[in-house]
Amino acid sequence: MRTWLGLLGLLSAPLLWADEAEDRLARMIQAQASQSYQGTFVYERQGSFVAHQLWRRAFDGQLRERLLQLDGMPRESLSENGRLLCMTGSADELQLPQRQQMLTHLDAQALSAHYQPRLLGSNRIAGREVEELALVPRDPHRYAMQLSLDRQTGLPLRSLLLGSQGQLLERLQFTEIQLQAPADEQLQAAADCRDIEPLAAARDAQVWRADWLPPGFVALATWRRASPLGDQELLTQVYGDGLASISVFIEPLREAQAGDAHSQAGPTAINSRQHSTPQGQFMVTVLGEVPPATVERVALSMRAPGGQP
Amino acid sequence: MSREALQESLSALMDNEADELEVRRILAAEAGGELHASWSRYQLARAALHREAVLPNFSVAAAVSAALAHEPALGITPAPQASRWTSGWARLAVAASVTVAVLGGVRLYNQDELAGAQLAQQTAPLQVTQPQTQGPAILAGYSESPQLAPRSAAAPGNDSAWLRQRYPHYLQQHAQQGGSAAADGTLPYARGASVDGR
Repeated sequence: MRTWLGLLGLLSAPLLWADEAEDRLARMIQAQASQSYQGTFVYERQGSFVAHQLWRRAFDGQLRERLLQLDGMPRESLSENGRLLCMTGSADELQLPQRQQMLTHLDAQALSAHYQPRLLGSNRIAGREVEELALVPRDPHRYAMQLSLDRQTGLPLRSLLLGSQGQLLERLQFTEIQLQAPADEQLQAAADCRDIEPLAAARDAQVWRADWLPPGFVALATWRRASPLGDQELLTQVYGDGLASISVFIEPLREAQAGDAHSQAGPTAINSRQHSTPQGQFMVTVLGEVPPATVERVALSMRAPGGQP
Repeated sequence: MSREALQESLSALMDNEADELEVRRILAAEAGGELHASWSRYQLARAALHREAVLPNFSVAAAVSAALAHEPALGITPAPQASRWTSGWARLAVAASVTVAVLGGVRLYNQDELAGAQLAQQTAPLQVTQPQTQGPAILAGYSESPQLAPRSAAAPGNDSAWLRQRYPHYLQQHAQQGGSAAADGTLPYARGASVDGR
């Protein structure tokens, strides 16, 4: 029956089609907030292919999640309602900002203003029937995403990040999934899981701002913290369109020597620009899972507080 | 000149260990074509190892000749007064400059290539793969460490160590604070882990 509905959708007017795709998107967002499950997934990007195990329990509006890296270092993390509680095997980051929940709570309609949702048909992932949903950007400033949504629950069992020519930039794919809620002991992290202190968001108006952002990207939060590599202050901002996010890091250069640079770490494009301000030299680094030209344009558009536009 | 000797000279040049005679030997034989093919294969292998954009038809002769053009007194008209000591150093210098020219040529081309690819990305129409025609091509060449070295854009000779130290921290924090409507906590976690997993 659903297959016929899908076929009908393909043949009918694109408007109806888009509505149906939007429904899937809304269902996925809902499923992620309310469905308990446990399973194994692989994460792949250029230079990395690693398996992880996941336990997630949604009960009474509370979401508790444990993730364990199965290959190499036994890195582990425990989170509650999107807030990271503890982490093992990580570098030296004991203070991390809270994940921006607004990104996960954005409604399907707002998302489809900048991505065209398109249903591509049926497939099978981790032994389950899925429906393929593509989110095609409406401008060249972001990447496309292809999601394989479980027919029964709406959960994304595979997500692919695709470049403008369809090249695969990143893959997250379940190989096995069970829908029962994990037990208490499965949601306990190892003893060496170090507590993470949430970073309080800065609320002052005296911050840097981006003169240009891709349409649909909004400022989500700003943080000030001591740089992990020195005593100077590190200012961080995060922007998002509901699917992709862009982070900006601003650090005073003082006497340090560093020029403009750009780099790529898997799907993440990085661009660093030196900015001269009345307060001295600053290094502005912009990174995100967006095309390199987008981070470069944002990096060039950053303005110091009180600076000339 | 035997083929084996030529191949050895070529490996020496790739390994930065060729002396002046070997460089001359390669230049003389380059027109032959077979050595050119070997050179291209070596370059391909090196590019694959270093995950650089590939440049298969790069000719060694142009880059090497250009480098040697700046060393007119050496080799062609040997300076009679030069002592053993200085000629030894000069030889090293020629070999070094030749290798730098060859590798420098590759590097420059790669940057153009990458810039071109990025431009193409901006203008090309977007295609999404159908599920039936499985995943699109993946760039080959896996390694354990992420590619983090910042490529200097403009200022020559700038010290990017400052940035190179910071990029892993930035990537880690970005992964945590980001997140997305698709696979909300899972994707940021996996991204963070892939930065960390060195």
